[in-house]
Amino acid sequence: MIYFDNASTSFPKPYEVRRAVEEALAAVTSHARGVGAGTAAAGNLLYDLREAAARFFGADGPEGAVLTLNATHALNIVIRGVLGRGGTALVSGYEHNAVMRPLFALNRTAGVRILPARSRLFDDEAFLAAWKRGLGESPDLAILSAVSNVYGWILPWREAARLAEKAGVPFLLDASQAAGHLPAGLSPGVSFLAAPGHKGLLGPAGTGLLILGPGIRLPPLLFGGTGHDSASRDMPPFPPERFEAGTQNLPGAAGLLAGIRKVESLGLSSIARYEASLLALAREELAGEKGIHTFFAGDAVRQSGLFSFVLPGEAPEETAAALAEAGFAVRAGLHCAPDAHRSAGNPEGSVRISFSCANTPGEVESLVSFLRERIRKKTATEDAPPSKRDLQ
Amino acid sequence: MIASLSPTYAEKTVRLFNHVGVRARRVTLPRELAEEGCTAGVLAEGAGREEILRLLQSRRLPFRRIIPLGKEGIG
Repeated sequence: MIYFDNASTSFPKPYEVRRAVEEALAAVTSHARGVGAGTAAAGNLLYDLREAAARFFGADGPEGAVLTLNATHALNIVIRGVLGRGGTALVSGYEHNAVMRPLFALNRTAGVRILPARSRLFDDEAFLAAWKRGLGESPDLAILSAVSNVYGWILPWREAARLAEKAGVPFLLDASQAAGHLPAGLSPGVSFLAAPGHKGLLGPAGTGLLILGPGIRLPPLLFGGTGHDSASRDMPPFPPERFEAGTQNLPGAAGLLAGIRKVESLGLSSIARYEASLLALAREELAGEKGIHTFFAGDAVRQSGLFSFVLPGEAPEETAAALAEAGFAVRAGLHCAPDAHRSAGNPEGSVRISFSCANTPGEVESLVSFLRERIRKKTATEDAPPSKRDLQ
Repeated sequence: MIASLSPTYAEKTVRLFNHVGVRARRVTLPRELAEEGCTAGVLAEGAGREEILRLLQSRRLPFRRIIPLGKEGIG
């Protein structure tokens, strides 16, 4: 199998990650509950992970790294924490359902107003102009994906965060498609960052992170035991435990820690350059090709290692099924981001190709060959003269 | 013994102390302290109360209490 669905989850997981999960299953028990070597190992593991995550994303310290189930969970903590009783949210036109569904739910239950800063695809200037206009309406929270999960557009999130800070609006950076692929962290103006553990950070599914800026105060999303402060009826007032009710996914945490260390050992800038080179190769081969509609940025710095395409006259799902039959794993459809498709003027969906540092140029060439052959066959069928049977 | 505010702060305290040469480890606090909300404990050996206080304050590490445990200045 040639795996091009890394925006869903990265695969294959590195050996170090698989080994760390297995070792944790054999040696780690529960954190902050009970005594003994397994509990101590759990405490050390979680602390090591918090420290690694805080360093990776530029948080002040390990207490700023909250362990979550995934990026969606992290986004929900902030969205419901800030807007649970109402207010206005500023978003881009390219957010996925992890952001939009919590907002739509709050729109129904608490009257939250959703303010989309719409713009054309890959148009930074138009987006920032719309973002500025949105900030002028004094939203209570600004939320932005660092990278569109459908088109790979690297949104100008640093500038957007600075503008939000200037306007006094808390800024939540959704690093779902950036973490582990591109530099992203608590840059000036970023109040919170949500990241999945199982995508670019190479960890197992069921892991994620919420990174908190200094002095953040939010109500918890979940309530329950934390292993300390047991006599209290309330959740602890301090992060990270304030947001971590119940026993943690310790084998997952071990895998995520190994994943972050793997990304650090490979080097984030090397990963970014390599994935950009794969995208450049795909663009070089496919951008001018007739019979395929590709979504590539005119300028390479605006796109991460993922792109979308459609074969005109063929449903994306049909193309994906043909690719799967030929041994390629891709994703097709709306990619949990119907708004992104509408904003890009492509409401019917697309086939998405998303690279990781485990992909090779040879795999990209194989994809290009397959697509060229499919286009050729399709064109030949369409151009063929009608048969007698067709005319009957 | 230091009654920390959370397991994360307790672990941070342990690592800081070990880094500066003060032997420290995580412990479970006695019940009466747990009732106060201090179930994340750190046992630090070989440092007096003043030194412990200075270390905690210099790193802005929040804690609930420092409980002396003996003549040796174990706190």
